[in-house]
Amino acid sequence: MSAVHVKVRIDPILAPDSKSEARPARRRRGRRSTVARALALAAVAVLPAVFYVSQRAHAARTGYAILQLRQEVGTLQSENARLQAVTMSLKSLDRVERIAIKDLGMRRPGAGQVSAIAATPVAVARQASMDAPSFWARMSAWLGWSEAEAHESAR
Amino acid sequence: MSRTQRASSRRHLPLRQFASQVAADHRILIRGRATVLFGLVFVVLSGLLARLIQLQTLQAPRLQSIAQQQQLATIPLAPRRGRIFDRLGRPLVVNLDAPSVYAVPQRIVDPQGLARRLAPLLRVPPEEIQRRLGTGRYFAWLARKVSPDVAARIKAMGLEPQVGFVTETRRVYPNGSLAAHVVGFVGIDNQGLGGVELTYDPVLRGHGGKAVADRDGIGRVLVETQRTLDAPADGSDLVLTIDQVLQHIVERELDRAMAQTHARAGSVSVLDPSSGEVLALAVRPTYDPNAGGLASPEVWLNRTLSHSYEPGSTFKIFLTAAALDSGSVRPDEQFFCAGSLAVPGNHVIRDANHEQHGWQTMGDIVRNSCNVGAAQVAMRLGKDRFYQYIRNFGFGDVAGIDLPGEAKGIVAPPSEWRGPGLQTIAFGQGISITPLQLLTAATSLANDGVMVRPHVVRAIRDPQGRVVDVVGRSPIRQVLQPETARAVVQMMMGVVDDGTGSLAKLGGYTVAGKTGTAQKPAPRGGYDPGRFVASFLGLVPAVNPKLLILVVLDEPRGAYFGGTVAAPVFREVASQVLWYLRVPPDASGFGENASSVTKASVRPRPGSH
Repeated sequence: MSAVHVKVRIDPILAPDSKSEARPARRRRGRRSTVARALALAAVAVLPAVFYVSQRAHAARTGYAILQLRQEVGTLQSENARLQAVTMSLKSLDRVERIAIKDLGMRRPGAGQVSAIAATPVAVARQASMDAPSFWARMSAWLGWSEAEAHESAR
Repeated sequence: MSRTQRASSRRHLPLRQFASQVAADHRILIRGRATVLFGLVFVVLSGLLARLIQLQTLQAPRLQSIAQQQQLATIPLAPRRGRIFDRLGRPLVVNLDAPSVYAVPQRIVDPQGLARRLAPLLRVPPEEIQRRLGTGRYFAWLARKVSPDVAARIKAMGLEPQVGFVTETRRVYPNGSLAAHVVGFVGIDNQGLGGVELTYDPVLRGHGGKAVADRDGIGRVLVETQRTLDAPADGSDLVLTIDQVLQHIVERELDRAMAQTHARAGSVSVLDPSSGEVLALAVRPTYDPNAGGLASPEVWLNRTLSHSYEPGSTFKIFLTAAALDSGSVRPDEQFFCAGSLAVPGNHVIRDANHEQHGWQTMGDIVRNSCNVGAAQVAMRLGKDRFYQYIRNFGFGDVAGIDLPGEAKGIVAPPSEWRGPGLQTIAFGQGISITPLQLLTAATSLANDGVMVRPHVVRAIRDPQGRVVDVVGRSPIRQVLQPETARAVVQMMMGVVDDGTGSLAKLGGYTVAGKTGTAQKPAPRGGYDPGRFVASFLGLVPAVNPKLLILVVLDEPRGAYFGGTVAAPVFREVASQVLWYLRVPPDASGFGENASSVTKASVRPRPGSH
């Protein structure tokens, strides 16, 4: 009996997997469904996170827009206040009087040009009644004109 | 069994056993490697876990605070300083945004070049800019509250991040110097430095708040994360008793008088004597509150309440009131004026122009402004009693107006009235008072003997415009009996009718007044013969006074008598103010020379006094 004595060094190796064709179809289908389940599970887990992140990003973008609009509002309000201050300066009595006298040649009324008279309450009441609109004026205003006109004297 | 032994034994095995043995060896090998790998992973994970524990527990507080500093932005919420309105709601002070420019010195490579570029825009010498750059490492102010144009031009230079901008609030006084001494002004940090800006600083200031928000990677604030920690409270608004139109009238007439008389200084005050409301208060010299800090401190002085002077003959009305009220002198009692009177200390009191008035009643003494007669009345009254009345009238003490810097004046006790002290104080020399004290004392004449405290703030409104406080009439004390007050007013009417104050006469209105011409003390003692204070104190209409007006002109040149230079100012002011306030005439003769008649003259102005 001759014994085969091969002087070889055998190192351990990882045995290759058997070919897929050799596996049964049922096992392949099972593996596919496992992958699909895993993917579905991953999608279920990841999609809310993606949705959450997108919402946060959208909120941040909106925040930047708000910030910019706030700055614009602030700028406009500041400009508005500045213009109002300029208006007040232009309307200051000192300036108006100076222009009226120097540029327009106006004069203050003299001692004899303006006088005050005493008015009795009766006279004031009579004048007030004359200023008030008549019944027909009120009716006309009510029918066709504006309400504001109905309360103004016809001049 | 060693690896060599296992390999040698396998040589003699059949093939099947050989394969089985190889598989076993393979498992052993895999297990060994897995063990090593697991060990490595375990070690790494243990390290990570240890680090995690260190970060999350041991160093957590410190790291959290660092993270907060990096991620959280603290946003200071500045309060809006309250505005100031006149009595009819016209704004006298408003707030405007103003950019301030700062630098980050450590980021500036060429400070000299930067200073040269910015100097013309900021209107500051380059050396000064360099000095400011040297004041800090991370932050240095270059200019505070510059105009928007200047800020825009600096931004256009593209100097960021070496130079940055902060928006601050600037106080703006759109009417310039109008009512400057009442409104006052603020410093660079909007702190009140004068007028009601100073007195009501705690009310106007409000208090700041704080908010926090997350920052993004480049430092921008994430608005959606902002939350307020401490809500800011804006300052309250003030509604003054001042009327802008009246103030304009008064200032215009004072300017005109200053130009005509070349006086060194002057003031005109208009009060509603029944309520104590100051309707107008003009002081010259004045300043523009928009640049209040640049003005000379001398012009900050509100001469109406901070400057003491010897009142002269306007003080005689209080002598008269004291003499009548105390019963020391009867109204019809007569005193003889020979033009001069020898008084203790080898002094002689004389009347102006050495005039001899002869026998005079109290009314005559007031009408002719007789010094000799007043001195005799004072001697009859006596030092102690006169002093008591002087103090009761509020002289020598602050009137308590809601403006800063009120002086007490100088009222020496009777024990220090040496020589002719009693006699000279009788006609307003040898005593120092402020115009405001004179006005406050005079309110007693218009209110049947009750003095009323003057004030310049009418109401305080919260930022939403709701009135939260109203300053009303504040009586101080009853100084005189009502009959005495009315009698003195009657005597003052004589001053205007045919006395020294005839230039204050107004068509259509009864006027009660008193002139004053006081010598000013000389620097080396005694009185300066060439320097005077001319004044006129008047009530109009005299019967039911609506206005109490005091005109004071300091050192007028040329004509210097109160009746000559101050009384006409009173007349001009009173005539225009009465017209503006629609105060109906109360004297006969009105309506004469009437070329135009308006109904408005008898209608009260809506919302006015």
